[in-house]
Amino acid sequence: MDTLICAGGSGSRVLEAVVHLCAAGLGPPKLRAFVIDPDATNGSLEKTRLLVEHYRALHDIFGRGQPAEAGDFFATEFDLLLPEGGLQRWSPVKDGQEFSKVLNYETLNKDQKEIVHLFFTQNELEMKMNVGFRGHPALGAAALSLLPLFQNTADVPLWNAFHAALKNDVTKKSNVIVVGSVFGGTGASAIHPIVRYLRSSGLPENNAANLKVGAVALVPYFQFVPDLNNPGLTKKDIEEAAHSEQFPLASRSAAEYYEHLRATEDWDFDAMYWIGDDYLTDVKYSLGGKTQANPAHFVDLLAALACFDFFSNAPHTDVQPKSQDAADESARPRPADTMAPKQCWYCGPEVAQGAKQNSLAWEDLPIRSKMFGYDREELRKRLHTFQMAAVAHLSFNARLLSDKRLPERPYLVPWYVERFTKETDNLCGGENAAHLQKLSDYWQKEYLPWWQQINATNPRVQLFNSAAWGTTPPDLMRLGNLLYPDEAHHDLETVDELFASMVSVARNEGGVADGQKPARRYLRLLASASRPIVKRIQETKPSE
Amino acid sequence: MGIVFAWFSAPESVDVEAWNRFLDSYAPVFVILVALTIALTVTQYRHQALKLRIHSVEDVFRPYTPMNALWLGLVGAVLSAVVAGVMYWNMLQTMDSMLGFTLTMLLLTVFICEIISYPVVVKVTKLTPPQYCYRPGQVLQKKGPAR
Repeated sequence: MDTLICAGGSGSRVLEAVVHLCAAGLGPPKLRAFVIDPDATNGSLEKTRLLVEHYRALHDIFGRGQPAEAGDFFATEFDLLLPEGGLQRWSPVKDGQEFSKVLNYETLNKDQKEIVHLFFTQNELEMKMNVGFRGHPALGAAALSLLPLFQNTADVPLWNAFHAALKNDVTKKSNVIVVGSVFGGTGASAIHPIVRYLRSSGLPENNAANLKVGAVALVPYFQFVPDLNNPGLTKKDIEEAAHSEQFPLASRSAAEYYEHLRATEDWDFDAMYWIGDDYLTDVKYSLGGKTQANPAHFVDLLAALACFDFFSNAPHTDVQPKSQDAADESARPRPADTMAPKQCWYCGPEVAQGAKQNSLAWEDLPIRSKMFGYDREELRKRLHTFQMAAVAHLSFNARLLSDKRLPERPYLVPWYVERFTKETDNLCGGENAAHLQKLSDYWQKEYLPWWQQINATNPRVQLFNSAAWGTTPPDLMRLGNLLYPDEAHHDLETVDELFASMVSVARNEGGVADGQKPARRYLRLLASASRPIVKRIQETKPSE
Repeated sequence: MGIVFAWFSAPESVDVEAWNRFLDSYAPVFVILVALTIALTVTQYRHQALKLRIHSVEDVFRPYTPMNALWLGLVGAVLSAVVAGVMYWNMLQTMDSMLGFTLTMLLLTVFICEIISYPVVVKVTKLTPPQYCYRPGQVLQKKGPAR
């Protein structure tokens, strides 16, 4: 089993990217996920929590029981550890608690208090922990160092459940990856304590080698400045807040810290990914809470793919190399599709000589030759197919299926006649229409806006043509031009081609067999019909 | 070839041998005209069907215009009747029963062209793009709810 632990707001946004990729059929068969964030009302977390809820509903309709390797949409099954409550959030501090209370400051003697003052300012000690650590990783690190205390505490069911699940997981190969920013508060303070906890969590000795632990460390990719004219912000708020001008310094400190761990042979990571961008995107300033909901960024996408890379290629071996062996091992040439143990990897947009800003293209995505059975080209195809299915459904098929003339003259839509003419198959109303409405809502309100944000906040992204879904519903004229760049000429020929392809698939091919839920059959039909068109388009637009 | 019209007896005022020569001359023309009309109808149907595109939901519900190609049967019939009339006058030198004969040829040509063209269009699936595969035979399709 693969486990993803997301720390802080950046971690939540990476989880958002992971969910969207799983929807497109790119994820592992099963994925356990939870979030560590002291800020219960964090806007990014709330958004991700809702997304996960919607995804699970869609998985039940469209993906349950499907082999994820086949690239079926919504095939990844999420394990959220506890049966109730959806995506679980855990905080190392109580909501609204002063930081000094976390340290039991009042009960310390004079000498101990003086030591505390060496590490923390008075402001930090008085800081209320209701919106996270506000860019103060020292606070988070202190709070998270208490992590081992929670695994057997009955009032922290999440850690109890996780510990039990982990014990069960390590009888086979299992992977855990922690994602967070190293320049903020929660992420920076969580990565190493969690990994250390995993390494000392009392797992059976003979199974411990089955557990591979990785981390995705996000380095600065956005910046903000406090709005000094905002009457809602006090001077104290601004002083306590995270300051983006300190992000590079914080990242450097983090890098030096992790380098120190390597140098002192205290390196607990089987792999560590460093991901960022050389151009910082401006985001709205927020102290935390509901307003902390930065738009999606391509770094989230890269981080999500890095997680999949680790899940798919983690360096599982029968014998763990000792530190010197590890160095020798990493120096040895290895096949391109295997991951050397205990290494750091980095990715981001390629440096383009002479260009003002670097841009992100398909070849910049962190994918080894194979990931869950697919390579870079296949990833591009699957994402393109998902995109085409989304645009075609929202702009054409959903309207067609809701047209009152269709039930009266179904023979006008041959794919409908071929596959959906039984009473229980009716896609135009009832439960099946409700299922398709959920799919439409996901594509319209969550998936395409996510891509729109990735493109809008950073126009250097050269993956898809965002002009295709800048309107509601998406622009059918660009159904054949979903890949970057936006071409000068557009037409509706691809609409006709896809309609014909759906008929051909419905009449000739298996894979959309009866016996499945009609809505699922429809989605598979749409995907199967899109694939040959995607293949034709991609042959004319190679990724490299 | 006159055997094609063997059932067509000579009018009383026309010599039987002249009538038979006329039928022998007209029959191949008739067969060629019918065959050409059918070929033209099917070709025109295919051409129009291939030109059709579904670009919007409205396109799915619009009338299926390639079936208009079947009207070419009427054009072939008129041509066949005109040729029959001209040959009738040239070879038999009489107007007796000419109108009846040309009208019969017109109806016969229409009937034969349609009775062959329509099944060809419906049954030869390669003539119709997959998007419209049930449209040629839509009069045979069940109306009402899909289930």
